[in-house]
Amino acid sequence: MSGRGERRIAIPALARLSGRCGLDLAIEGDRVAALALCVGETPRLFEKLLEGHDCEQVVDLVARVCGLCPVAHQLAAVQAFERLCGVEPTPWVRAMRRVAALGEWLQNHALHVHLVAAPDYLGGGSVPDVAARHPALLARGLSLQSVGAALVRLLGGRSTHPVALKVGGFHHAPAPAEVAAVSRRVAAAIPEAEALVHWVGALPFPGEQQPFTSVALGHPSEYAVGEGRLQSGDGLDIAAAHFEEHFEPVVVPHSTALHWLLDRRPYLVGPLARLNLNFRELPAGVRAAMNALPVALPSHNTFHGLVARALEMLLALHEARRLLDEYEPPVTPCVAAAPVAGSAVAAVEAPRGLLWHRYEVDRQGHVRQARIVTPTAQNQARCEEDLRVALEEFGLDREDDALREYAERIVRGYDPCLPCAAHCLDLRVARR
Amino acid sequence: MTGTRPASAGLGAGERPRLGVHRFGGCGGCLLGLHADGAMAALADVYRIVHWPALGVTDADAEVDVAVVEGSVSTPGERDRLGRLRARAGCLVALGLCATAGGPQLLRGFASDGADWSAPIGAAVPEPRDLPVPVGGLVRVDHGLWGCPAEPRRVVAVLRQLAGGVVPAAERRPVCAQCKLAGASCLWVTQGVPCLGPVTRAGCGGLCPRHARACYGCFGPVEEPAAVAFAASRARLRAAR
Ligand code: SF4
Ligand code: SF4
Repeated sequence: MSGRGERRIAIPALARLSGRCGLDLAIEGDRVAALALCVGETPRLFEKLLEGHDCEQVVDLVARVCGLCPVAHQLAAVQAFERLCGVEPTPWVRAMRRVAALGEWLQNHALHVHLVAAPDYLGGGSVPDVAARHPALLARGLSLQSVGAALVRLLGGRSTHPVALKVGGFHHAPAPAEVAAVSRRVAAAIPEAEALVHWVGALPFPGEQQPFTSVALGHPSEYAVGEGRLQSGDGLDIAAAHFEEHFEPVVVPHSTALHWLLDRRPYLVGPLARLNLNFRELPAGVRAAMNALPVALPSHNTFHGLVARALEMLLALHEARRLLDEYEPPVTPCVAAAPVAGSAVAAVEAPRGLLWHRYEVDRQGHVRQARIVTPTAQNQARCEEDLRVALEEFGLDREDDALREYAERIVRGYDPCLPCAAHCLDLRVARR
Repeated sequence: MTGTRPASAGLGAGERPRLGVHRFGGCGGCLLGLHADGAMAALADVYRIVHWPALGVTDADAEVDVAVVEGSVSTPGERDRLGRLRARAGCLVALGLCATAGGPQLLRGFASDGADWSAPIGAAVPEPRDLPVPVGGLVRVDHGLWGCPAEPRRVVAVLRQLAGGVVPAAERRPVCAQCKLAGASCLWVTQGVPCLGPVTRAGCGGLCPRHARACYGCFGPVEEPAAVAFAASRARLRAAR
């Protein structure tokens, strides 16, 4: 299989991903000649089907872009519409949204760490194989996941496609007894998450530092989750409304996901990008755990995304405990918002990174046009760039299977969410 | 439920039935419920999992006793894949509203002819041709689990029943019935708020009314909706405003 000629490696379906994604690799000597990450997920053209619906319907519909991060999509939509209407959510609403969003981070990160990444560090195999060999580790991971789901359920009614979020606040405020019950679970999970951070910190991470730009929301007084300015490691600092002036989409023929570039270059969003830009805002309990790790920040080894996820799980628990311990039922869970015509924009940090929504709303309060930019789409170009560099460093003269395994591991490190990424384009079908 | 072959038919004693889990076009939310909160363990307990890509178990063409399918179908490749898996499955369970009814992506059928599909994306997109089809529109479905998402505890319960050779009962009640059982006050009667509960299939336990909002129908329609009575009540409500 070696020699000077071109060598092709195709991985039609990468395993343990939330969706369908393949990789085509062409090698010439010691160079990657061509590399294409092919998102084969069926696109559902979601932007288009939001059109004509009123803002409240859009809040319920847009959750369905992604079963893994519905809260993030709903938060982006409600905040965009609130900004357009000139409505300021109350401090209670802001706090409870933060809890719901962090619950979603916790749930997603727990699933990524244990079902997607862990097998790569534990001798490989499928999740059931790993569960049989390391039952306690998997059980701890799934119990952390269920605490995240409980946080979303507390505020949203259910953990997938919550029903209680709305423009102006929430339909419903949980009773103090329900809050106290979840808060006890959160407190009990903190030592578990600390143990997880410790375990992740000791893993033998492959990979090298690579130059790349991190992009995330930044907030002056907290680790940014649902609000903040769009910032980059290279000094970009803009309001969410100016996103389209700096970031541009590129259609690539091999994928149903768009690629996004910042100043014509790939960039990274997600837990590692957030941690790189915002680690100084971590609360003391999380900072202590971070400082005990053998990982220097900012880090440009994308495998450290796993460390970032573990730390953000601990962050989610600390923040949820703080906010739920202060809980008092509000006088009203929402403020009234009357529809206004115009352009509504918001950016939030979804579990997998920056999520940006824009809606054109008419005088009746109906959405005329929508645009959704998901984290996975933004990471596509960076992931391809990473694969090129990392595989060349790894050594292209290795066996196909070794290359395949390493490539899969790199892609999984980005935790791509393919339903999200492929919500818009349908180029492959069109070419028939 | 005619035509359902109990999943354990033809199995030797002590042999666990085989389970395959498949995804088509959807948001992944229905299957997420099966990864979480003990659901995976409850299934692994009674099934031999032979295909479930998210768990790294892949053998798409294996014969299975029960195949679970999430999502709607929109490409020729997907149609082939669905047909193949149906032929190798003793019992096929359509999971969630996408699989049972088409799901939210069907709304694109309301787009007008000549609509501009590219503008919102900011890049050239060809107009999509066919509408997505629910699984039951193409192959025989033995059991449909409605809901967006399908209720995870119910999904696990049904799959465990199938593993034991029990034919699960289909849900025929509307949301209203579960509201009453949950003691939720009726939004329609007490506040004059139009609610889709009377014509929506039960399964969520009256979730929205219990959270002070009207049902928006995410479990799909009941089999025989009282459409005329519903429309008349709706008209009376409107007139009273
Ligand atoms: S039915 Fe709803 S939750 Fe299930 S896959 Fe479809 S959109 Fe997602
Ligand atoms: S009340 Fe209606 S919209 Fe709400 S969860 Fe139940 S079926 Fe879905």
